[in-house]
Amino acid sequence: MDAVTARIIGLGNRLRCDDAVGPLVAERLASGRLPEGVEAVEAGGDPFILFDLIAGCGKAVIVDAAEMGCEPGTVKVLRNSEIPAVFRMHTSLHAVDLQDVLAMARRMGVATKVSLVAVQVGDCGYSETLSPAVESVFTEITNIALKEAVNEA
Amino acid sequence: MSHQNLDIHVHHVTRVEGHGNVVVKVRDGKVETCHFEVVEAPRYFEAMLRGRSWYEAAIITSRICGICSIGHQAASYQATEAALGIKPSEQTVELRRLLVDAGTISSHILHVVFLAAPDALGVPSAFALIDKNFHAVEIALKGKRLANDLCDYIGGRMIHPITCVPGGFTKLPDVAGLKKQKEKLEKELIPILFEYADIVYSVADKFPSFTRETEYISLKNDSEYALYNGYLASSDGGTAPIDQYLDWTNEKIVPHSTAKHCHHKRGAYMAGALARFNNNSAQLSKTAKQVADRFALKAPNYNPYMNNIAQLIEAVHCTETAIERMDKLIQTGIVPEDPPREIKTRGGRGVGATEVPRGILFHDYTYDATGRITKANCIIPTNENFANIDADMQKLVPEMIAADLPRETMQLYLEMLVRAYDPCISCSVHMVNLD
Repeated sequence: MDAVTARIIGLGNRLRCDDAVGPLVAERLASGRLPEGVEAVEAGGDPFILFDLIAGCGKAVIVDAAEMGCEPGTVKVLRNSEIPAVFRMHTSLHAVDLQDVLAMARRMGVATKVSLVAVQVGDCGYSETLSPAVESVFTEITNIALKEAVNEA
Repeated sequence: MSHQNLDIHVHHVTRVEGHGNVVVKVRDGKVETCHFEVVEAPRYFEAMLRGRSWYEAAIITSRICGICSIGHQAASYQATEAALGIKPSEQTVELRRLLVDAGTISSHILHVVFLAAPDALGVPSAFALIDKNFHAVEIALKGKRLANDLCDYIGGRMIHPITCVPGGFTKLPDVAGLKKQKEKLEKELIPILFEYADIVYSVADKFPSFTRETEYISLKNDSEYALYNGYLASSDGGTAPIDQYLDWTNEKIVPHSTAKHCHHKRGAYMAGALARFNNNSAQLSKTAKQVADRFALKAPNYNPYMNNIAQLIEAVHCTETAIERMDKLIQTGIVPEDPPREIKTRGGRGVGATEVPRGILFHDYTYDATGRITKANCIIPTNENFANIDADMQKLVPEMIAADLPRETMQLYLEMLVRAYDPCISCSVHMVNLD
């Protein structure tokens, strides 16, 4: 198997409306042709599976639903130290949040580059479809994640 | 007594999944409030299942939990197969058992090492463990990775497996792959677990020596230590088929929790690793029994903090059992099988039950003649334990007051108690807030 140089990781719950954006982006990308060395995977709620996914590649692009106080569907890309410690994720990682996982990866000497593609949610209720606001920018989010993976990958 | 008046309010106990509060209020030496509040918003997975096809149920319920997705799938297949008369092959069942073993190992390592052990090691978080014992964190991550790799190999993913479907597997492992997985468990995982047993043993005296006898309910299986399936068994006596689970769980609404409470013969019961150990320890693997002996853990044990040790013992048991299962599959070879794509049914009801890391998980589906769900019920083990946590707290707090423990120690022991149950609070919440 070819070495993975960049991994796009979708976080979130597929049954919670906009929280599903990460897994759906990963699924869309995985179902198509990706550049050599790039893979797209869905991570569950286990923080240490996420740790392994981050650690096992040169660059990790995490796509996640977020509450940023913006208009639903707003997308922000944060890189490495730009990912703030106070950033609140919707994803529950079983008692350890994304910040802990990233901090642990740094402390453990895992020198992965990490980008976070954060998508402002509109609705995280119980639904298997995205809200119109997030759905309307879904292709754009997918393209942003792929571009982020390829840049410097 | 220096604790005539005492208030402890831990707003969101840390190192547990989801949100819950410890609330203790003592006035004039009298305990007025002492319970664990669950404050999570409710989840509605049962409602989401209505109208869905027999092929989709396990895919949906797998999403109830990012940790116990394998267990949810196992209970879901059992319920669907029981309702629709689908009989899985022995090979299918053995592969599912292997997946449940792997999922249990992975979850137990996560809880024992990263969520419970920081208390015993005197650090505030899993993160702080890195500075305290880098090697311990490193090998724990490796151990978890080995278990996850096995999930990935059999189930097609580390989490939310995709190869398991009602009646079989869409993709089967092969002998060469099983040999590799088996070798990794033998050569790498077993030594890691031994090393972890040494680390936990060195701090085992940090777990409080509190005891409270309660009823312990688990699955029981005459042929092996029950995890994948079995019948209901109580330490107070009595067994029953799993389809009588409603008579054993008796869910009820309580004012201080968005999650329901359960009871059987007493006001509360305990499910999970210690309950399984108490009811089924004679069926543990040889090495797991040796680990239990080392910790002097004998059934029945009434100390809920020992659930952490029972999890460690089970991780060893599941590793040995997984090796044996793979040995057997390697010897017999993998038989090509195709799971059913269509079914003929008149509908019906089926119940599935699997021991997930935190206790017995029940799925109960009713299907119509088109193979779509008309009614569903899922009872999560964390729910089964909430009443028992309250009962433990209500004995522990007066004992700690009588021992004149510092307030900080009391709070720590209460938090450790909740963590010992390894609660998955988000999964457990199934009702609207009545406030």
